Amino acid sequence: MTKSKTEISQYSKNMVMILGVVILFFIFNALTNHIFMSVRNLTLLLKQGSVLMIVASGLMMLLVERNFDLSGGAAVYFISAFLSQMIVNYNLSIPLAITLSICMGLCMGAMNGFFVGIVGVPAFIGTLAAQQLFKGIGYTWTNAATIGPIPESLQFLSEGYIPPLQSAILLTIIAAVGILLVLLNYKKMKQWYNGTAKLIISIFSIIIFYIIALWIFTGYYGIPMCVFFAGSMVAITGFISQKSVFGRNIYSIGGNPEAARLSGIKTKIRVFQSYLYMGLIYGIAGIVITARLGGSTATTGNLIELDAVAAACIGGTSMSGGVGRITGVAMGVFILSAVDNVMSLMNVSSYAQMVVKGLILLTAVCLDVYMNVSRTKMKKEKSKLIAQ
Amino acid sequence: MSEVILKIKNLSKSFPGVLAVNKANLEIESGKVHSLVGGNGAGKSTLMKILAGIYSYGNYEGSFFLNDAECQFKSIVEAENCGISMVPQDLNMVNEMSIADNLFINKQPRSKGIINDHKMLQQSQQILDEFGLNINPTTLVKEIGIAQKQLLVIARAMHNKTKVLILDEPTSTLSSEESQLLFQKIVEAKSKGVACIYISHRLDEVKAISDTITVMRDGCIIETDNAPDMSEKRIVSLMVGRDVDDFYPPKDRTPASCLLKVNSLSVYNQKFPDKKVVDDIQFDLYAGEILAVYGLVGAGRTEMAMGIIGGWRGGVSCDMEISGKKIINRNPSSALNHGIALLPEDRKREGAIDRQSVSRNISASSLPLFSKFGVIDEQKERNNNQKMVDALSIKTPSMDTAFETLSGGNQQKAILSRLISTKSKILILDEATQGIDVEAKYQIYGILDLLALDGKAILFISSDIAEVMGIADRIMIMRHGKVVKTVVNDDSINKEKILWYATIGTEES
Repeated sequence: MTKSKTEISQYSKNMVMILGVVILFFIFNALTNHIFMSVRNLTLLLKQGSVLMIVASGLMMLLVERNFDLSGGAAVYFISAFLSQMIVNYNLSIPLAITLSICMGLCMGAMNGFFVGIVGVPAFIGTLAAQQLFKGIGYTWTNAATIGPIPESLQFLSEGYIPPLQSAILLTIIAAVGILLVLLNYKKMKQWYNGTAKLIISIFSIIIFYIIALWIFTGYYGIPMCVFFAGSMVAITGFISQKSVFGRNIYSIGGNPEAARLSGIKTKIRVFQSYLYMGLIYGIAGIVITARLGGSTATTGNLIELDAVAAACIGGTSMSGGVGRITGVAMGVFILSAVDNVMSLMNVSSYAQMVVKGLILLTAVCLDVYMNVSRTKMKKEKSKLIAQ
Repeated sequence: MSEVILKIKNLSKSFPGVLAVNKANLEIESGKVHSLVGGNGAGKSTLMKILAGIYSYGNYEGSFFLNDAECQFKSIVEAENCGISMVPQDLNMVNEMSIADNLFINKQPRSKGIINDHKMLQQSQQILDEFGLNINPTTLVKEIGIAQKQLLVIARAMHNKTKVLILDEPTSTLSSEESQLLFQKIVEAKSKGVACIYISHRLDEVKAISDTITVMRDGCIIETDNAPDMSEKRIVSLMVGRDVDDFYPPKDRTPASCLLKVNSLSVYNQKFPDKKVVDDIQFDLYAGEILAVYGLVGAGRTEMAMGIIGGWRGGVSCDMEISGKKIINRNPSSALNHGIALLPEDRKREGAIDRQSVSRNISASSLPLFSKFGVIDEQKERNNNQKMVDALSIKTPSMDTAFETLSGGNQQKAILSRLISTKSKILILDEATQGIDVEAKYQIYGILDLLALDGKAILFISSDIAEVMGIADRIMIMRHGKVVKTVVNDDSINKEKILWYATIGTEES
């Protein structure tokens, strides 16, 4: 009985959030003369948010295990500079350059992981040092110059589109597989679902997202490649965080590092691995951003790590560890990008944009703190109840 | 003669959906020790929190009177100023501050608004001396032991104005020497006319120190009587609500072959690498037996457990074998691979994985058993966890309930099921029944018996002599990092003998 109460409160929290977002979007739409909700603008918005999404999905895992990464933006810049240099100045082939970039990203992640996970440097300091290193080496190497242009075939990795028809087929397959997996899971886990409410909500939301995606992507040129990559990273991160032993261990470490260690989880190795995953994210984000900008500039990826924290926070990732879901983070990225987009459409100066973004972050975190307080209150009462 | 100082009339406190305290009526006399006993969740702590101003006026029904004047406390400070001080169960001290700072938190001696450090240190030293604690008052609280911390919190509450002193489970972390000191302090306070309300799960202590004993169950006050008229058996049956004839499962286990052989184990202090906290001990652990480890605080039992599983953060030199094969545990994870699992001493700090569900807490150690190529088979996992919840009768609304909402006893059972899920052959339990209610305790004894019958080897570390004697096949008694004696638990053993070894350390003369 009590279970359904918490479940419902969890759902109602999500519902409130979604409802808020929908209302917000209608306001945005009115403010921008109906430009905001046009298919073209939504496609652009998703493209703008894609690199942030990629970085935020890696960062979420680090936040969940009570770690941090200040070097994200610098690392993305470095990969971007590295890739551009390889192609423009060293004339490497694109596949080779991309492979090298990914390897480079992994090395950088491994470096962070080594110092934070194995040596035990506090994440904040360790990655601050890494930020300076990545940026410094990049600037020294390229003299902080803009490097470009890169060939169009590389630009395709961000700016290209999967044509509408193929997009529609792809979306249909994804939706069908999604529903199938949900049903399969239900069949296996029926005993613990406690009724069909959760099942229906899951299927319903897949269908809604499918319809919206279909509307956006068949209305314009199709799915942009950068959005495709961002979506893939969301899916991969979601899978790792929910279904893998690695992901589960990360949540345990975030919940209580000492208890995790004593229950036989290799905490050091896991922290190292999570930074290694972040390294993969550097690589992919660096490649996508290079393709998107057509080269590398000194400001590429600047401060993206902090935007990612904001997005994760807005999406309900707890700064004290153990809590965070990729769907929430995606929502956070979407909200941030939408706000960015609307203010640009309204010709708000970039300085005023910072003010608005700051306020949004503060509101989101306050809301989260408030919700958590009321939830712990309920928990305390419930614990008494159970104790009786 | 003593007079009624505190009168509680029809006091009720409800949380939505549950009545935590149900129309409690109680009279507390000055200069006496009044004990409150009852299972976890019986409402003792809630009742005391009302008296101490933690639940402020307006949040409860009924009333209580201090010296016939009705109290309507809005805060803890107000209650303290009126003379009601409470020592809560969880030690609220600031770890990063010195002992002196903690003792005088919020009431530092000042001159012209500036804290007078000299005076504060002097007074702190005085308090420390009074409590027989040989520590410098400038020591940071995080550097002292949990028992010393407990004594300090009590010292802090026993200031001059105190008329009613509430102690919530004060001895759960104290050794018997330290407990004796505390009792001495309570007797002193008593002679000054202070009324002392004493909450404890340790019945022998309650019996020894109280003038009056009140038993609570399900928020109601069941019975109040003079201490001499309350036998331990009567108290327990009032607490549980039914007669308990046999506390412990029968011991008809037959230990088989030697599973774990510790040839030599030394564990060194983390801060002073030369100092041995466990000094070259050796022992054997057989399959199918429960080997209890008894010792007072500081005997090195926890350090021994940590040394065995590789979880100790300081130096360890260890030579041990499992089923005749030499092994080295570099960390708890390799211990797990060798089939050794630990239930840690401090449930909150080392056991509970917060903000995760009950289910995830149960399978935290055993995920590799339910996964292929690093991907979890959730059905397998859930099936196992459900089996555990049913077998150990863990009371939880659902598998997805947040772990921290469970009661202490149920949390402990869930952590025990985390160990069982790993299918480890050797289970080390460090103070498994500390601070949990009687019913959960008996359930845990039953589970341990079944596990031993199933051929597991159980190392059961405990500070409770009665429990040790009730459940163990053999008892290993430790003192100052050494094994003093290992005895077979039969009729020739009694409490006095065990305590003798643990305190004196030699054969009885």
